[in-house]
Amino acid sequence: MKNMTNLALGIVTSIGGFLDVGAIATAALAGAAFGMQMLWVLAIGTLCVMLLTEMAGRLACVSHHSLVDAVRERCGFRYFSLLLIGELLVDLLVLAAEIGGVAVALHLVTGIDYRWFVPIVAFALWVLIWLGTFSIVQNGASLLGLITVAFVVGMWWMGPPWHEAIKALVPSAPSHDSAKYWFIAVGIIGSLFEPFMLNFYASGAIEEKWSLKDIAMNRVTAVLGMGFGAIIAVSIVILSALTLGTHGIQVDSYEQAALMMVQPFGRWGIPLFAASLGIACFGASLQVALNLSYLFSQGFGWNWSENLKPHEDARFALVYTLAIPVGALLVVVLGDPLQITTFSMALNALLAPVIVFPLLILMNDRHYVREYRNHAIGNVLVSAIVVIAFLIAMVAIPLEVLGG
Amino acid sequence: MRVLCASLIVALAAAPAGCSKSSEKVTTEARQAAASWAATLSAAADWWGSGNVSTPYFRSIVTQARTSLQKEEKTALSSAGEAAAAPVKAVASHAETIAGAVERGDRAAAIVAAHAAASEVPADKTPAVAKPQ
Repeated sequence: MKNMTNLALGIVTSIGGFLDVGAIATAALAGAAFGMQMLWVLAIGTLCVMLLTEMAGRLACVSHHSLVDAVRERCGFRYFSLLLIGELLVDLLVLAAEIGGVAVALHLVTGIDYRWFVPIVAFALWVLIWLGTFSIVQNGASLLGLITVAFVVGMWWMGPPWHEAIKALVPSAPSHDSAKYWFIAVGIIGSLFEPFMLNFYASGAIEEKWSLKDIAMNRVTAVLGMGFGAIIAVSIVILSALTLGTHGIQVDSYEQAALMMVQPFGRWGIPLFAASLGIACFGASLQVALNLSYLFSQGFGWNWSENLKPHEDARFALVYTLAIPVGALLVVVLGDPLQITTFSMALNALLAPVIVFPLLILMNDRHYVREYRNHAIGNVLVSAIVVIAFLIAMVAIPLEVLGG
Repeated sequence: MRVLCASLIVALAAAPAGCSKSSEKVTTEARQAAASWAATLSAAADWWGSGNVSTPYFRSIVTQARTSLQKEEKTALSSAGEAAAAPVKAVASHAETIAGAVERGDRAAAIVAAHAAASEVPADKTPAVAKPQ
């Protein structure tokens, strides 16, 4: 019975935790600009993230190592330094995007400039991590994140053309504006396998003391949780296509994206969008801030656990205490939270190989995962998707940034 | 890893050479942005008129439209001249009218101005099922 409860909780938290500012923004952009044409990118990305999440959980179950911890040990300090710098830069940008997302959500319901909310959101974030335990932080935010199911209800209410949606699962070249198409594609992939998520998942497994008996539960959680989460992202693409794209509205700001919920929900549309965006981003910003602490603590061998009191792992607490204000400052300095989001998601795709390939090495190393090694299909599939996403990102990011 | 880093640096360094925007592209983008904001204002004004969106939200979307259109106008003027900026200016002028209507609480005037913007610079609607090439 306890296992079933854990399983249900795992799936529910995965659904809630799947969506963040990146998934919402890139899905809304894709739907408004290209209709349902980009659903195939979501499908491939979801398959990849299911495999990767399962691997990160399996590594923790079998070896009792988190991902960063194992990479540091297996690949050495020089490689870890590269990973640390890359992930630090990208995670700070993602943290800024998530904090910006919460602030924009508050702006949508109050009309007050989002920048006023940034310090308040950052402080609330820090207090929750400082005082909370891992299960409160993870399960609380993710359970609240179930409000994002509103996107599925909205899509259902709009009566989408299902046969066309299914056809869109077949990869296709852009109907127009190739640079924008591939930039959004890279953003979608980046928003699905954000490198912080893999280490956060593995660290969470260790915080919750997963062992060999949890391998099956890890597999089900990864597949069902990520699968249901992807359904919500697909709903956003379809809803955006049916409500924004067909009116000729492109998503250049969150205010425009929010309009997608007005047609199905009337006066509840904007508050529902704001609540979904705010809660999803707050949950994700907790994960990113904690992951930065995990990254440094596990890499340098410091005490680490969200379940310890801050004075018991002072350096762990110091990292998120510094990271949160830096993230908040970036939102204010860089401005335009939507642009920060799309750019940071594309950077995630660039960073992915740096974390994914060591994970694949670990998942094929008997010393770490014994007989629970990867199958060849998983290795090939993940490698191919990550390499292709990386190559597209290399071309699409400069083209989009420089306006080619 | 060194190869990857080197490739990234080369790609980033080479990109600017082939990527400066042509005036034709600037003109197209300016028109698309203007049309998108006109469509946004039109839909949002209708929903404000029927009470489906709140006044603070509508005010913020109008402010956002004015800010974006100002930026777009500046870019279009500097890169492609007066003709490229014309649709942006037209929508921006309607946005000013809408902003005034919001301050007065005049929903009917906001709807009229928003519809005028949308018909002056009509948007290219994306079909839900876009035909791939």
